[in-house]
Amino acid sequence: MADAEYGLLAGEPDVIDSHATHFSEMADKIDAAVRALRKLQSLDHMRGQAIRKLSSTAGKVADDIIRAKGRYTATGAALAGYSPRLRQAKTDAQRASAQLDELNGQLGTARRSQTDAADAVLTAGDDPTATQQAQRQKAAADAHLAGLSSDVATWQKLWHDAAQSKNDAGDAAADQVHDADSSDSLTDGWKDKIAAAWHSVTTHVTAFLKSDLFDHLLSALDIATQVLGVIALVIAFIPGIDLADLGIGPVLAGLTALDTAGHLAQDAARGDGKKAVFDGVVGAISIFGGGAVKVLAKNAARVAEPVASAATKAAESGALRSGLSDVMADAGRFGVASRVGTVAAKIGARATKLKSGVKPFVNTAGKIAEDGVDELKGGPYSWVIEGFKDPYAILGTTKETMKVLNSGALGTGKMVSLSLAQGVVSAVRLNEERAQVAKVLGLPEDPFARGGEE
Amino acid sequence: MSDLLLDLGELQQLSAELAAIARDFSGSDALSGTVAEATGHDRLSGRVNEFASNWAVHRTQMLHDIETLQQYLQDLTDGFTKLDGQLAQALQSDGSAAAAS
Repeated sequence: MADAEYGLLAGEPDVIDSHATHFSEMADKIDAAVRALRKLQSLDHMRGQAIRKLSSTAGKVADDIIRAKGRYTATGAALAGYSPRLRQAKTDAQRASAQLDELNGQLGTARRSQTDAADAVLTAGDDPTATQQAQRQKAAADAHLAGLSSDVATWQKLWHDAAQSKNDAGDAAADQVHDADSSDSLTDGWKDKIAAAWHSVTTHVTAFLKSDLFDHLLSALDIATQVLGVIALVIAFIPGIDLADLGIGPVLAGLTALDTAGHLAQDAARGDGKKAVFDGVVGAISIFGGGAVKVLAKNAARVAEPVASAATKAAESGALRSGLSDVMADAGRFGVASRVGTVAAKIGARATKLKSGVKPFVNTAGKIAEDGVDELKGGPYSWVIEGFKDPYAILGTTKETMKVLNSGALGTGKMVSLSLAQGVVSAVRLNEERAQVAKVLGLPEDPFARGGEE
Repeated sequence: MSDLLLDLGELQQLSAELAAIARDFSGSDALSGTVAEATGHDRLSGRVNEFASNWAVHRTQMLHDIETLQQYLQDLTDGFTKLDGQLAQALQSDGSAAAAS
């Protein structure tokens, strides 16, 4: 915004005047509002239950805005003081500028005249009269040029004086505004800025979490988790394919953890605190504690639902209709959930085979499988373990298992354990991983060999 | 509601003043930008811009409080004005009924 030398000075005094007036009026308005708020706060002549509530906030607002009054007053005054000096400086500079334009024109002409006069002296030759005349003309041209140069210098100084006056006035006004700003304790510190930035971020994030877009994304993640879960189930029962080696288990657990975290965030954003806390605990375990299998198990029902439904439909459609169709339908409904547990059990059983780089939750999966089965062994549901000894007998207990699960008598933990055990039995039925399963269950190696087939 | 004495005029005036302050607070960035440009002076221009920008966080919070209070005042005066009108109407109806009987 530096002014071009000998040009017009920048600045609009009229605009400054109107704003200076506005700032001063604002200061007056603040003053009036504070007086009214104080009156409201004191309740000296207005009473009522609603007013009493109002008065408690009136005092706070009054305390706040009175601090801002100083800014408006000082800035208004500073601008009001600057404006007339700017106006005068602009006028002086404009006059000087105009004079300099004219003088510069004259100066050009005078220089040409001086050059012509100098040439005339040189070309006068030996004629004394002509020489004297030429010399007189040159002296006159020199004098005229000197006079003009002096005038130019004078007006240049006047222009600089005007510019200096403007700058001095501007600096004084700037100091005045700064002094007022730095003494009112309203200037934001770095803590205020960080808090504001954080607030801004959380506001935007919360808005996103509440949005339909996020809801759709979460639905897509739900579906992806369920689809991968089903794929994992299928792979888990294909002999010779190591689920853990394929890395599907960790990916599934990771997806589930992400899904859980997403639901947690959505619950929190929507204000469903209780649900958020529950989801948060589960999510935190999966993310930080290496207990992804817990999340996996927690989501077993969600994963199982569509597949169980399909299995039931398939059973009812006639494709699987036989003397065992009812049992199979139930087995399909329950088995899917249990097989999610089986995935965990298989991962756990294979944990010892895995080398470095294995995610912690893989080991945890095995531990949970062991704990779950141990818990069931001595409890009222030990018949599930008994069923293990005769894999085919589990079909006979499936309906009982379903009744227990459907009754809601089991908490999440027991349900997971039951699912794990059931899943293990299912795995045995498929005649694979016998040794590992037996190890997981803490039973003698392959105790059921041929037992169920006899 | 044993004691109820309200100066609605004062409350409406205060509400209007707070609304004007809130408007100015929320538009202070643009306002100061205009005047800063008009100063034609680098340092003063910077200070005038700071006048608005260096308390933006406090001003936003302040603005929120003012708007809350201003809205509360507005609701209060509107509510009492409406109530007053309904009471007057009810009294007028009672008077007409009494005169008719």
